[in-house]
Amino acid sequence: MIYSKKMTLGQRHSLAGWAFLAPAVILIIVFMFYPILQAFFTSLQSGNANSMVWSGLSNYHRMLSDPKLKTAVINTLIFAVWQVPIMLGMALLLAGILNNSKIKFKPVFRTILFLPCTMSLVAYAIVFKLMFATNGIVNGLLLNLGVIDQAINFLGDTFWAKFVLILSLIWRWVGYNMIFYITGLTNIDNTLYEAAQIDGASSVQAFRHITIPMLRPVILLTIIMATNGNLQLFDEPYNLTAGGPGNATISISEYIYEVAFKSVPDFGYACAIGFALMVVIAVLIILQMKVGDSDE
Amino acid sequence: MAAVLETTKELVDSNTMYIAASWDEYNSCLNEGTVAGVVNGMWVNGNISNAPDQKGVWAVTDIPAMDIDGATHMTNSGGASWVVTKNAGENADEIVDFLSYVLCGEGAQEYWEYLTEFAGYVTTYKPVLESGYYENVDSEFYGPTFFADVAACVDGGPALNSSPYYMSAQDALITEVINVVNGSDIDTEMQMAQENLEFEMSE
Repeated sequence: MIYSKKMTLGQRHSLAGWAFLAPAVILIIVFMFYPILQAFFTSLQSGNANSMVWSGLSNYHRMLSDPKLKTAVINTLIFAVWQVPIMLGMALLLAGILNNSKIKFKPVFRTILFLPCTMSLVAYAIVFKLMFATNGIVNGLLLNLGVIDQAINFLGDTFWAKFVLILSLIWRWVGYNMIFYITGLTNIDNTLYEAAQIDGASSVQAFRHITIPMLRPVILLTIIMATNGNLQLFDEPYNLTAGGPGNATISISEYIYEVAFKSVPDFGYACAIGFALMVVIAVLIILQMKVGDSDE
Repeated sequence: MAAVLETTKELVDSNTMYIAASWDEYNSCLNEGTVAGVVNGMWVNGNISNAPDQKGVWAVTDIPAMDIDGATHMTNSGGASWVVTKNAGENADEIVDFLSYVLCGEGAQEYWEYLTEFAGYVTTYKPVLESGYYENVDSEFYGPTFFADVAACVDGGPALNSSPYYMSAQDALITEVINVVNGSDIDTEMQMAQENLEFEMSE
């Protein structure tokens, strides 16, 4: 058989494609997949940094009886359960309002609402910390308005610390999700709304029966992103409350950081928790996608 | 520990004591004169002296002992530590000897005098305390008797044997205090702190 030494046009194109992709693929493998793999191997070891020994699944077994991890998981779930619905609901509402053709200066409002999520996580957490301090601006306002007669120690109280944290998260991410919804809304055909109006539907009914169903894929995407982000929450609890008054606001990622770097470091255990978290998030995302697609 | 928790809760509830939520708040309370006093290691004199208008109004004293056996008027709490790591290898013994000489041996007097002048440190090493050195050290911010007062307070404080889990234990106890102040039950909190610490120390 005679083999042609020249490549076909198709092969040349695909080779060129691979050549362009190669740098990015190599970087991803080195900086993402290799660390993930290494983390998995570390999670199977225990001991201190210089003298780690293989110990199988002992770290994973250890997670089941960790009281502080249980607190961290409960806290993270509380944040997710409260923050995600309120934030997405508000984002949807704002998107609906800002999509109204009768409102002027829409770009200005959209920019103002989007600005919070461009702020540095650390910077805005610190600003919130200062705002809600006992001698901060929020207490000053409440005292002046006569709502309270003694300053509330927001960040020193187990309930209020959680409240402030959830509030700061909502403030930050409302604009981000709102932009997704606005984009989705502009893709909805106006004739649907006109038809609804002719049929005598109120704007609330139109919202319920046209807007939300048409936005379903976008809503699903934002729910997945919001849940994912919440489960991995670190910057806000760490900078705002440092785990909160007595572990009241410690999140899973913050606990991983503590295990790895505070006191006696246990990298193996930290990696194990991180890996388990990854699996949980993956399962959640799959579930959410299944639920989201099931009504199609 | 239960007595400590009860006393702390009483102090906070009666508005006698305020627990600051963060380090900046702690500092601003000290520097703005919001509080009449502070319970901490004597190193906090550095933070207090950051506010020029607080000059001359602060003094040092010891705290009342609790009403239980073995209670003292002062105690040791961490502070700066010298640690000899595994990397010292065969030099470890020599390093330990040197540190003993400097911190609590013949070189101690000179070393601690230098540290006091340089950074305002006070030792708990009795021979240096009782040498009369601190009677003659002047503090511009606190007045001439400051170091003498501190040296007089440092008496009978229990020795501190720290293990690598010292900070974890401290964190667990701090969490206990804050939760009790926020209304948690004392026995539950003590048990939780015990469980947390035991877990951390386990393999």
